[in-house]
Amino acid sequence: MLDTTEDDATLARRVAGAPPGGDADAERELYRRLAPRVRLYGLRHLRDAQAAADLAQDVLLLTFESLRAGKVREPERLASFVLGTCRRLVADQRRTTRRRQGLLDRYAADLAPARHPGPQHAVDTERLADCLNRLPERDRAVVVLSFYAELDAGRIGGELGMAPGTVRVARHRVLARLRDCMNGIPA
Amino acid sequence: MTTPCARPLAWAEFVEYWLERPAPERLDAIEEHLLACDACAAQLQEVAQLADGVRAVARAGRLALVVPAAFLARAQQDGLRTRVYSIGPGERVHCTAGPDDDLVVVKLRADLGRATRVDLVSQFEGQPSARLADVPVDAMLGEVLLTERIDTLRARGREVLSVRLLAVEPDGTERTLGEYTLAHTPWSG
Repeated sequence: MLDTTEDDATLARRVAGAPPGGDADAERELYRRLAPRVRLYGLRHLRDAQAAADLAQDVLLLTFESLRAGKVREPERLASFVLGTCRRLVADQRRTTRRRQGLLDRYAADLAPARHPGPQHAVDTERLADCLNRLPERDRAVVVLSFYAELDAGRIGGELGMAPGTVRVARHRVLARLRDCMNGIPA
Repeated sequence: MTTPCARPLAWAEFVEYWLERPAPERLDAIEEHLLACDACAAQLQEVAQLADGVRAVARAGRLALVVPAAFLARAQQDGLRTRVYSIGPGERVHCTAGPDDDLVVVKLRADLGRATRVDLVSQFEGQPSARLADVPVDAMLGEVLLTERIDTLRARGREVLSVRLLAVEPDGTERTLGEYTLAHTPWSG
């Protein structure tokens, strides 16, 4: 029986205490909660949607195996366990990526280019363009340099003649304005 | 339905976590919380989606008006097909947008060294002028970079745009840094 108000720790204890595959409801609910959170962690650290999805699969596989094997000693601290697993796998993935990049650099000329579908954007980019282009010039510059040019606050400050602290304050304020604009909330 | 968070992170923390590395003593707490809280994860998801959207808008050449120099550098690094014009004070340039261009940028050169604030006044022939206050400048190279949404640019007919760069002093006085003429024609192959 599934009670979706049960917290993660309770679900984790159910999974750990059941025979293998014995509490499918708890496993399913725990997976449903953890998968998007781990994917988000992957997006933050790997900056690649496919890599983030792969990370989520691998982390959750290990987490559930560990729960069933009784290796998660404190279900109340499940998030801490998952975080440790995420960090370990991200470090592994980065090592793999470096090795793969090394091979690509050596053999790329012999390979046919892969065709990848364009990224699927969750936001309405037409509307976002409109919201962006309505921002004051400096505010738009801060956002573009942060999220597109991927400069840190210090370098953005150097480009725009602003202190790094001022850049940080500006960008979270401006991003909140963009969020509100996208949600139809008047400025 | 997502359970509200009893101790939500501040919006600023979501943004800074996404972009830069928080102090070590905060990083563990933030990441552990995000792996335990749907409400806060949803907020971070909003930041991620906006970030992705900003990149998509920039790559599609949909940013209008003045852009910082680092934007152009990144666009070129990303392989965007970029048409760049460079024009000095008093000069006129004939410009267009090719069918394969992702981005068209006009670099307005000027002596920006002493200017603490630069405004840009633009006017299409026969239309009211528009003013952009405090535009980003590359003071070292002495350039202001102007662009327009590539879809809008391609739709334009023969038009002449006059642009003036003004240094605005703290006391409000203005000094012209340069006047420029951009004569746009549709692509003719």
